[in-house]
Parts: sequence; structure tokens; C-alpha cells
Amino acid sequence: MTPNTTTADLAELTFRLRHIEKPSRYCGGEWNQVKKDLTQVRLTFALAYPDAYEVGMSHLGLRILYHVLNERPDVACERAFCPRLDMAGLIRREGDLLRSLESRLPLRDFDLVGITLQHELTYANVLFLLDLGGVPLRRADRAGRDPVVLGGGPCALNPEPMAEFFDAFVIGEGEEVVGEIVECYVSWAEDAGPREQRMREHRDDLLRRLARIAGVYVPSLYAEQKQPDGRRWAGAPLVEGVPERVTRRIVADLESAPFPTRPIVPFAEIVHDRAMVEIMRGCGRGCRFCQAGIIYRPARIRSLETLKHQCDRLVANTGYEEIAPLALSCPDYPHIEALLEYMTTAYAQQHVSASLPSLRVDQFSVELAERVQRPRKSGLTLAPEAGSERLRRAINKNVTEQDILDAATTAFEWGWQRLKLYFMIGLPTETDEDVLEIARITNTVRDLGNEVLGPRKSRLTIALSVNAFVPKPHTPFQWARQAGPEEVTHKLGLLKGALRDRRVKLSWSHPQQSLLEGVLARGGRELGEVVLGAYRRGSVFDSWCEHFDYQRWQAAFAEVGLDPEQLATREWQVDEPLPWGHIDAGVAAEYLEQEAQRAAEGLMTPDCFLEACSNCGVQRLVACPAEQQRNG
Amino acid sequence: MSGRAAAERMTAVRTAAGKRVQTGWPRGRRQAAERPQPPAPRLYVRLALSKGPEVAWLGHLELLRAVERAVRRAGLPVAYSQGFNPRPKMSFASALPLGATGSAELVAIDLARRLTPVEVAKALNQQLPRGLEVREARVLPRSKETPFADITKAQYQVTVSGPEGMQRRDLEEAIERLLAQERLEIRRETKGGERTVDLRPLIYGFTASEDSPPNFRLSLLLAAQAERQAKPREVVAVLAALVEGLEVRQVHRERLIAQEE
Repeated sequence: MTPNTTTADLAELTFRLRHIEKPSRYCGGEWNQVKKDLTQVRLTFALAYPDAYEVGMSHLGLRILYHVLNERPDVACERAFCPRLDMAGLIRREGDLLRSLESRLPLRDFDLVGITLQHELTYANVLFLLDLGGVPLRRADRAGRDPVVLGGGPCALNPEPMAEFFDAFVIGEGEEVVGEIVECYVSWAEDAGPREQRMREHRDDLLRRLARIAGVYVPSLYAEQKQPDGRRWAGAPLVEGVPERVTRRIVADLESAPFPTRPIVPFAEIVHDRAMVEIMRGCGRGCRFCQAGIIYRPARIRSLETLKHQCDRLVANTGYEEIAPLALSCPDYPHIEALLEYMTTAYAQQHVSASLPSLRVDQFSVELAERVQRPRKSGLTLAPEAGSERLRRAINKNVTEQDILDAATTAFEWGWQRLKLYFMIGLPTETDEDVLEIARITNTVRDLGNEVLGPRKSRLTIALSVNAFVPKPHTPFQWARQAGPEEVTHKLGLLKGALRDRRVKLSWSHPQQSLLEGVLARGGRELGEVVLGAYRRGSVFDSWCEHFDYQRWQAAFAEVGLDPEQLATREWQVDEPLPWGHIDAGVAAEYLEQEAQRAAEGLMTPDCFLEACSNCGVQRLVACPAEQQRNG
Repeated sequence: MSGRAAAERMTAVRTAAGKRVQTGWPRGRRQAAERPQPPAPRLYVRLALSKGPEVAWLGHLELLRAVERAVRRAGLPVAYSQGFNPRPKMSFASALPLGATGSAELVAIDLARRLTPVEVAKALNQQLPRGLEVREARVLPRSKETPFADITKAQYQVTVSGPEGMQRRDLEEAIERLLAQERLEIRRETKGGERTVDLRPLIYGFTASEDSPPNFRLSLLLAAQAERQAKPREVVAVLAALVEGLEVRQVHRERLIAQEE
């Protein structure tokens, strides 16, 4: 183990960083950082986030796991992030390695390295992290003293495209299983002797032990099945005691689940630079395109009392000037008004303000937003997702045109002059008419703005954000075909033609980024080579428009004889085997099928948290607290 | 960070000459004075903070925010400016260059309740991140509308490395030659574009001493007013034109010096 950082090291670091942009991202030492003596712990755990510091530090999951792991005296958990290209260049030029922020330990010297998969376009970043950290990229090449690399996060629910690179995946929520993994490692380490020897000789034994933990998927312990078209994914288990299907881990009781009330307060400005309380996990609305709506089921809440207490601790422990509730849909939280009332009044003296993310499209949400935004300076965001009433029914977005117009009217009346509207294009069953409806609604909202704002109408702006739909595993639309870049471009063209007002600003997702996201989301192990090929060609930070270079990916696909457009735009059969068939997300296949059918018929399914159970099957795994919620 | 971004984000930050970068403080004070309530007991305090290598790479805004948050955690009753976007009434005397450390960076804080400077220092020190520490706290007279207007000079220690075989004599000779020149003109990038600055009258002291080889230590006493200042790197860059291979390893500001001192 390396000794703890000395002042001399820091001075040297000082010298090294002189040409680096925003260098505080690489220095650690933030308030509430946990730094332990690495010689006094039994396990070193790196949480390596496959994106830049300001993105990774905004992620609540990382902060929860950091807290849970460091609560244990026998574990030292430290952080690492993707350095931007200038810093990566420096690390490479000096022959150095990517190190943790706390003890400046190279990634390769940790016992376990955990990497979250939040988004498909960070897959190349995973290899970037491992490569810079001195860890062999392929799990098959890891031996000797190399760490065990664990994956997790929403994309781990189809782990196959990245199965080459991870020793094990955690499927589902991490805060409980991570403790079991630590226990497993510690007991294995006791049996297996000093690290060098045990990693060399007993690595397989460790993986086998890990595979027995519920929710842990170890790809090397499964046979590989190959499809006629060349796609590959996990088949039958090779070892006894390894489950055929790995079931998603779910925290049964959110109320008692650990939550960090001493979170790190970064020096650098990060994307979500505020204190956050998780008020609710999961969402009952059942939008058929939404993966989060499925993979965080059942919807669970924390009590108002607990949240108030957590807010108090957060404000006292961080000194943040802003606090916000966090949930997939904050207005759905039953005590949201009382909570916001508390957040906006309790810390007024300390000049701590509240903010509210994730609104629903209705008047109630706009009124909530009004409550937290006294000096109205920012815009208000509404996400109707689809333009026509028919298509909103198909995607189960329970919003009428009247709701949209009412919400917009209320917003204008309260004095908002900037409105942001979110829509998707390329949704299943979408026609050109549906796309033109987006323009019509936007134009109607603009007219409303002119009318309500009156003399202030020149200040009206409508930011229209349009993203291409990407079908995701474990959703009712997992079998849907994805619109190719040409179709998306055509639809965008239609929209542009129908928007005439300069105060409506249209922005859209890069069609080829969406295509790649879709291919990686539903792919199998055959894509491992593609990710590696793209990384070798220089792909990194693909979700950042300024870094995305589709040609590198095209070349990587071509090298293994795959056509990404064909993979994305293919129509899937409901009965065909799925690359994620061995992952049980909790909802039943029949439920997804039935929802897909209802989408085709234009039938809505009621909100399962607020209205009626839709029998999705997750109640097999945990008692569904929504039941209690609905019955008052 | 661009100057404009800095101006937008910062409040009540003033330069050494007391030039206001952003409005807020004086106006707020006037408004407060117009109110009918009796004035609450206040403490106007000046802190000297050390900034160690752990936090050398914080940009000035990051440093400001880190101290602001520490002040809030410490529960210090800092006064806020009036208006739509109230900001804590705190100001730094002068921004340190990125990467530099300092022994006594000056901060003025306007507190809404009577406390002793020692209480303020103690409370804040428990909440400051590693590398930042209040070394001294003293009461400022209330009349000081622009708390740092009298700062005129700054004392720096710059650690440099030279080419192999370089002796202290070589450095001293180069410094002598540099100081013997009548004008030392450099180009400086500012918000309004590039302009020429004569560094010579801004250098009050410049000597060299040994450090751990192969490093040497330069002591620099430089002008530090808003409209009349020299940056240590600029001066060393001029020296580097006379001593090939000279490189800055570390910049440390020992203190800011007020006129009457």
C-alpha cells in the first residue's frame, strides 16, 4: 500500500497541474471526504465513475455507496473519475496511472473496482478508466494482483455488451448487496492467504463465491450461447449453485435504507451542485418507454419526518446554499407540499433555498414550482413527450392537451417567460401527423404566451427539446424498432418546417448518438469487440457532443462485420430470445407483452402507485408499499 | 474562468484598490440604513487565511464558495446583501493565481451579531477544509467601506528550478541586470484586449536564495493594487529570458501589505 499523501507530494502535484483545466477536480480533499489509513483496512474499494468529475459527483448512487462502504471500519472506499483529455494526456506522458482522489492509489492497486453503467454512451469511458488505471481491459486477461471489476447501474440490466470487461455485475440497487460483497471478499481473503497469492491462485474461487450472492451476475460462470445471426449472450450456468436467472436486488424498505447526510461538498462546480434528499424511489406512472419506471419498481417513499431530519442534517453538514428533493417524479410524493413548505421556510435565515426538479405536466406541479422559485429567473420545464393525444395514450403518458395548456397558462400567469418543452420522436406507431402535432402544440403554447404575457410577450422564449426514442431492455417497448438516423432527420425536418417563430428554439439529440445508444442498449456480447474497437480508435466521452465521433464507431462495427443501423431498426419478435433473458428485473415478461399490446391498441394503464396495481409481477420479490399508499 | 463569469458569480468582491467588481454591498448598506428598525449589533471582521498546497488548485471562485459554505456550516451570522439575489457580505482582498499558496490571504466578513474575532476564527476553523485555516482575526472599523483599499504591495516567495549547474550567483547576476533596466515592458492580456505594462516600477524588491537543490527561492515584493500590480509569474518570465531553462515550481504569497505598515 502507498503511504498517505504528504505535503511534498501535494507540492509536486501543484507543479504538474499548471496547464490543466479546472485542476481542483483532480485534487480531492473536499469537505466530508473520507480518507482512511489504507494499512488499517481489510478491503480497498474504488468507486470509479465513467464520466468527468462534475458529472459523477452529481450522481446520488455514488454518494450512497461511498457512504455505506466507508461506514464500515474494515473498508476504505475511494473515488476516481474520468480525467478530461488534458489530464489524461498528462497521466500518459508521465507514465503515471489514474489514481483515487483520496489516497492517490492507482486503480489497479485496489481490491475491488466498482464502475456504474448509467448510460450506454459511457461504455468507452469504462475502458478509458480501466486502461488509465492500469487494469487489463478484458476480464479474461486479469490475473495476479489485478482487482476484481464490478459493474452496476441501470445498464447492468443488460450486461452482455460489457460482459467481456467486468468480472461481475450487481443487478439492481446496490446499498445492501455491496455489504454482502464486502463480507464475501473478507471471508475469502481470510481463507486464501496474502493478496498476491490469493488473487493469482484463487481468483476463480472468489468469483464463484460472489456468484452465490443474490443479485450478482458473474459472466464467466455461464456458457455462451450463439444465435444464427452471430449475436452472443449468456446461456446455462457452468457451475453448481449459480442461478440460471439473476434477480434484481430491491431495497424493501426505503425508510430505513442508509442515506448520506454527510455528503462530499465539491470545490469545483458540479452539474447538480446542491444538497439532495431522495424522497421517493421508483415511479408508478408506467410510461411505456421509460426504463427507470420499470427497474426501480416498486415505487417507495420516505416519511416526511425522516426527510425533514435528513434535510436538517444535510444543511448543517454541507453548508450548501440550495437543497432539493430527488425522485423520478417529485410531485407524486404524497407529502410534497408539506416537504417543500419545510424546505423553503426552515433554512430561510441561513439563506438556503429549495429547488424542485422533475415536474409533471399539470397545474399542481407549476404551483409547486412557483412556491420554490421566488425571484423567477430560470425557465420551467414540461415534458408531454408526444405531440398527439393518440400517441400519448400509446406510450401511457397520462397527459391531455388541456393539461399542457393549463400548465403553460399557469406558468405564464405566474410570470414565467421561459418555457422548456420536452418531446420524443420516433416512438412506436408514430406517424408524420404525430410529429406535426408537436409543432402545433408548441405554436399553441406560444399563442397562449403572447396572450397571457401581453406587453411582456417579446421576452417569451420556448425551448423545444426533441430527443429520438431509444427502446430499452425490460420495458414494454423493448421489442420496438428504433427509427434510423434518416427517419429521425426527416421528422426533425418536418418539425423545423412547421415552427416559424424565432422565439421557439428547437434543439435535438444527435441522431447517430441515439442510434448507438439503442444498439448498445439491446446488444449482446458481440458488441464487446465494437466498444473496444471504438475505444482503440479514440472514442471517449461519447455522450458529449463535442467528443462524439460516429466514424470511429462505424469503423469498429465494420471491423466485426456488424451494421448498427440494421441492428437498431430491426423489428423484434415478441417470442424471440433476448440477450438479457437471464436477468430478472422483477416485472413479468407477460406484463411487458401485455403493455406492448395495450400500447398498440391505444389503451392506458393506470398509475400503479396512486391508482391501481397493474400486476406487473414485482410483488413476487418484495411487498409492494404502493398497496398501502393507495389504501391510505 | 473568464473575468465576466467571475463578475457574474462574485459578490462584494473587491480588488485591492477597493474598486467594486460587483455592486451589492454599499447599496445594501444604504438600504438597510433607511429602515426604521434600530441597527442590530454588528461585527466587521478581517481574517487572515492560510491557503496550503491541498487547496492551491482551487480557482478564486471555488475558494470563495468553499469559505462561504464553511461560514454557513459554522453558523456564523453573516450579513447578506439586499435584492433579488442576496449574497453573503464577504470579500477577499485579492485573488491568488491558480496553483499558488498563501500564508495570509485577507477576507472581510460583515457579521450581523456581536461576536469576538476569536470566536469567529474558532468556529470557522472547525469547518474549513484541510489546507485552509484562519491564522488571525481582527475587528475592522465600521467606517472602512472598502476594507482593502490600503493594500499596496504583496510579498511572494517563488520556488524555481534552473538548468543543471546553475548557481545562486547566476541568478543574482541576472536579477541585477533585470533591475538595472529602466523599463521592463511586457504584454498583458486583459478583458479589453492586450496592453503593454512596464513592470519595472512595480518591483520593490527582488532577491534570490538557496532552496533544496536544484531549486532556488526568489523573494519578490510587488505592487498589488487593482490598476497597478505585477504578477509573480510575469516577473519570473522576464527573468527567464536572461536565465535559460528557468521554471516556476511554486508560487507562495507571504503577505499583503497595507500602505501605513
